[in-house]
This record gives sequence, structure tokens and C-alpha cells, in this order.
Amino acid sequence: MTDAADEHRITVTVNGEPHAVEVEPRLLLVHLLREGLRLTGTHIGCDTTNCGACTVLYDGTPVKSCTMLAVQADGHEITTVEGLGSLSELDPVQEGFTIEHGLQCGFCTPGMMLTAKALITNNPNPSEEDVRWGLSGNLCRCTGYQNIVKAVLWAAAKQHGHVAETNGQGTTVSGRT
Amino acid sequence: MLDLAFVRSPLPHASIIAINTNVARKAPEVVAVYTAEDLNIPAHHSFMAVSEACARPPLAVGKVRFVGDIVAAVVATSRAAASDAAELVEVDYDPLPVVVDPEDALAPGAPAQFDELGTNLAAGIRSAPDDDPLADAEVVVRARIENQRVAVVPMEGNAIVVLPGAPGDAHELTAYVSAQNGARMAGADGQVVRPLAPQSIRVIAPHVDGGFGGKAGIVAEHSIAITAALTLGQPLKWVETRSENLIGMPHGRAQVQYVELELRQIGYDVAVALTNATPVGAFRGAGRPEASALLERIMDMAAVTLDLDPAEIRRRNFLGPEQFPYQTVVGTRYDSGNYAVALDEALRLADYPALGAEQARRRAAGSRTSLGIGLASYVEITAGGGAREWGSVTVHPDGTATASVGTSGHGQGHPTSFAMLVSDKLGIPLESRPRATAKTPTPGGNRRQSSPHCRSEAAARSWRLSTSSNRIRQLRLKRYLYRAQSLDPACRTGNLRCRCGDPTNDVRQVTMGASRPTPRHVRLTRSLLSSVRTPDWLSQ
Repeated sequence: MTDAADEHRITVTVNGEPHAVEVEPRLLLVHLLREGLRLTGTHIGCDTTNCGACTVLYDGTPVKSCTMLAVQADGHEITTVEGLGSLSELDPVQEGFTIEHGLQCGFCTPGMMLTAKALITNNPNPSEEDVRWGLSGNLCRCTGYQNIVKAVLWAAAKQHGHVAETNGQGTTVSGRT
Repeated sequence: MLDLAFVRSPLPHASIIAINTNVARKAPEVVAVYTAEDLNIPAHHSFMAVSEACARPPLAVGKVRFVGDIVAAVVATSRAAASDAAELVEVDYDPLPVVVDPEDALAPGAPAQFDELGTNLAAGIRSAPDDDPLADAEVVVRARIENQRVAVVPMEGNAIVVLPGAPGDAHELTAYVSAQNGARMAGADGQVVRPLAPQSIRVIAPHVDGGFGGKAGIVAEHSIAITAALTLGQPLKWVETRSENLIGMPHGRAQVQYVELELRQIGYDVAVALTNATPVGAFRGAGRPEASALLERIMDMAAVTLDLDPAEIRRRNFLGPEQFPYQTVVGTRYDSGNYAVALDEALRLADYPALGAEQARRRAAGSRTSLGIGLASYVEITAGGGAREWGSVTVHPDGTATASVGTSGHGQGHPTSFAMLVSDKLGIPLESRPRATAKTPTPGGNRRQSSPHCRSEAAARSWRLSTSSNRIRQLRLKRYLYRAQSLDPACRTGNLRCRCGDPTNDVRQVTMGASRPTPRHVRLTRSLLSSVRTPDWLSQ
């Protein structure tokens, strides 16, 4: 139901790379990322802002990209899971999810990790409660969250070079490289 | 690729007077709009038929039976266009009386879901009518237990891509689908889409992000997508929205249970009622959690009635080790067990007396934080029903291996589990990352309870030697492997791994040595093994 006149030209920086694209006004940011830029690491879980699977960083702040229009990202910087780390050099958050087994099916994991990234950047030494509160906008259907919380605590310790503490099983690793 | 969107009923029960698709057909980017009579897909079941008479027409015929029932399907060149056009389909409904509660559905005069059936009782079973299990009971405990309806809600909803085969292709139809059981889907497709033979259908279930029972069969959306793609002769996809998932994917549980327990016998009376709520399917345990909840609850109630400790009433009612094999009143055969030992060990590990003391202390102190202690005793069926499975392991000349099995992982860690098993069998270190690759050409599919057992057994049994290769290489391999086994007394029958430290016994050495003059892949064969057993850690 569109024609070219309806399209808006925007420039969005995604994972450090600027993209000039023409989009429909109603196009959601998540659809621009997944279908326009083929960055399918960002998942769509609910279309309703509930689940957080589509979380990306918008100028460093976690946002749910299914509830933001692509045109709102004009002139802003977006970080998706593809920009978090690389296979050869994982981000501490990705490393934490690996080591603490912070996922099962993995569908919620990209959103979890980006929320976690913002969380530990803003709060270098979060408590378990801080992490649980910080992740409360991201739903997981498999794990029961225990290992996700551990993974984030592990990542905070790694990123900021201290020993994390949990109220749980005491398996958290110190933050040495 | 074309996109598919559905027009769904907003009413739980209504006659369809008319469907007007004229405006939708003319909307931009629209390729086709289908109603039931356009595609003529036979009514079918998802994966288990409670009653053959209650098959669901994928596109509603005559009436709709729940909110979300599909009335029309729109195919367009983009998802947005398909969704827009779906809103242009006009459906004239005549609302019918609604029943959503299963007890109400069985009451006299309840609105019938299938008029030809004359009742909302889809199926039922009860113990012999002349056998009153409560006839001379001294103590009877009764309960009505609701096990509420839940939505399955995998984080990833349903999704399917259908690729019709071109003339000369090996398959007339290839479907990528987020499914727990691609093989069953392939079989079901063959039945639903009548002109296709099962062998001409290929179903690929890649890494699936959550199933929980809701992706166990072929749903109406699948059969419509497949039929539409074949009709148009073009690739087509459907990706479910969460709103669709909540009303369309079969729900779980939704049981009302009446129980009467006399402490020596149990009678049964099961009814499945048809309602105007979303159909109920498998969910996380597929019936066993509901049955367990019923049994544990009634045992706890009996314990209170008889003033027995919940652990003690269970201990007294366990089958004793001497009673096996044992066939229950409903026909289930238990081969062995020593449940009292397991219970006592669980109580020891949990420090049951200390928990009881803490509970009593909190009650006496009027604490706002109560301590609940729940006991459950349960025996899981693994690989029940004589399940079959397919698997293959290819050992590469570089000493790595690729395992393929007929199941896809969706969060259970199957690739890791199967890789560990292959590592154990072949002696290839896990660090070498032998990969378990999911393909779904054959039976099986994924039920968490059975996959590790059945599929790993399949992987373990699949040391198959390619028959086309030369015999000398086979013999050389055999010689190496037999030598490896004979050298290591700790080596179990059928276990290729040798732990004696001699590098010539390492299977990597064997394959690399043997493959020097050979093709790229060497398949180890089951014939090299006198038998393959389930590994101890799985059978315990």
C-alpha cells in the first residue's frame, strides 16, 4: 500500500557502519534491521514490547526494536548482537553466557545480552538483585533465569576486573582475562 | 518470496454466512486470496487424533469453532501487503451459542461443536461398569482438581517456508519449518496434501527456538501454506505473530479432574470435551504432569485424612521391588523399580526432618513466610512406544567426525549431548568439536524425554561402512579396531575408544592411516562392533 512518495530517506549507523536507506514511515526498526540490513541476530518474539527478544542498543540505551519506527533511528547509532563481539573476540557478556550456560534454545539471548551490556556498562558491579531487575524486561522460556543472572554477573566481573558474587551456587568465576 | 497472512475468526462460535474476498483480491501486491473451497484441503488432525470424527478443516467450512479459527488466507508479495489485504476480507458471521468450559460442554443441551457428532464428548474411557472399586472401601478421598489451560508460547513462534520443486527436482516440496518433529510433518504432509508421495517431500527443521509440545505436528497453517505454495508454484512463507500464536497454537493442560481414591484400588473415568476454546495439544510433558499432579494431590489429601506423613503414605503405597514386572489397572507395564530407595535418598539429601522442623517453627512463630514442602514420585517413560530413529556418523580424514540424527535441538543441548556420545564412542576429544548436525528425513522428531535416549542410540548405532568403498580398506580398518580393542582390556564390547594410551589405538590414527589411499570420508561401520549398548550414563 505504498508508493515511492511515501518513503523516507534516513541514515542509521548500525554496529559502527552508516546506512542510508529509504523506508516506509510505518516500517519498524526491527524489520529494517532483519529484512533491510539482513541482521537476523535480532529476534522478534512478541510484536508487543513484552518479551525483549528484539532488544538493541539505541545510542547505548536498550530499546525494543519492535516498538520503534525505523525513521526514529534516523541519525542515531544502533548496536545489534552482531556488533557486540566477534567469533574471535567475544564480548565479556557473550563469554559469560557461554561459560555460565546462560541459554538453552537461544532465541531470547541476543536481547538478553544487549540489555546486559547496557546494564553492566552503567553499573559495573551489580548485585544479583540489580541484574534481575535490569533483565526484567526480557523473557526467557527455557532456563528459569538462574544461569542468565550468573552469566551477567560473570560478565560484569570480567569487564570490570573484579570478583563477582552471587547468592546462588558460588560457581561464579573471578574476572581475570 | 511470497508472504502468507490469515483472516481469523474474532468469534468463538459462529456460522459463516458469506465471505467476500473481492476487495482483498484487488489490493496492491496481492497474489491470491483463498477460502476453504478454493484449496479443498481435507480436514486433518495436528498429530494425535482423540476422535477421528473431530478433524479440523484448516480453512473453516460452514462455521468457526474458536477465536483464531482460520477463515481465509491471503498471499501477497510482502508481509505488510498480505496483512493489509487480510483486513479487507469481509466475513459475515451469525453468532452461535458458546461453550468454553469442558464441564459445561458435556451438560445436556450444550451447543454442539460438531453437529454430526451429536455430543461434545470427543472420546472417553472408564473402568468396567460392574467393577466398583469403591464397593467396600473404608476410606475414600475425593477431589475435583483443575489443571488450568496454558498457552505454549515458545519464544519463537511457528514459521514455515515452502519451496515447491521445479520439474526434475528430487523433491516436489521442500519445507523449512520450526517444528519439533519434521519427520512426522513430512508424513502428515503426504496425507494432507494428497497428490504427494512422502518420499517426494523434504522437511527441514533447523535449529528450533523452543517447542514445548506446541510444534509437534502439522497445524492448519502449515497445510494451508503448503497447499497455497503448490497451487501457485511459487515459494511462500508464513511467520506467526505472537497474537496468532496465543490463539492459534494448540494450548496445554486445560483439564478438570475428578478423583476418588480408595487406598487399595483406583477407578477411572476420562472424558474429552469439545469446547469453543483453542484446541488443546501437547505441552511440556504432554499429559504426564497433569496425571502426576492429580496423583500427588490425592495422595497428599489421603495423608491428611489418615494422619500420615506425606512421605510415609507414599512409601507404603509404592510397588515393592518384588512386584515387578507389574501391570497397572490401565495396562501400563513397569519392568523394574525400587522407589522407596529413591524416596529415602531424596529425603536424606533434602534433610526432610530439618525442613519439617523449620516449617513447624515458622508456623508456631506466626511467620509471614511459610515453608511449603512438596513431594512427588514419578517414573518417566524414555523412548516409549518402540520409537525408531535414524542416524549417521561420518569420520573425516582429518580425524573429526560429523554426526547426523533425525531430530533437531531446540534448547535441550542435543548437539552437545550427541557430540559427547560420539566423542565417547570414537575417542575423538570433544575439543575437536565433532558436531551433531540436525536433519529430519526420517522418523523420530523431538520429545525431550526420549531424544537423548533414542537419538543417541541411533547415533551410536550408525557406524556404517559405505558399501561402495573397497574391501581392503574395510579389512584394514577392522584389523586396526579389533587390535585396538584386544589391546585394551578396559575397552567394552562395542566401544571403539581405547584408553590405554597407545596412539595407534586412537581412532583418529586408525582413520587417518586407513584413509591415506582413500576417498575423503571413511564411514565406520556397525559391523565393526559386535554390539552397541546404551552408554551407562544414559541407562542409569
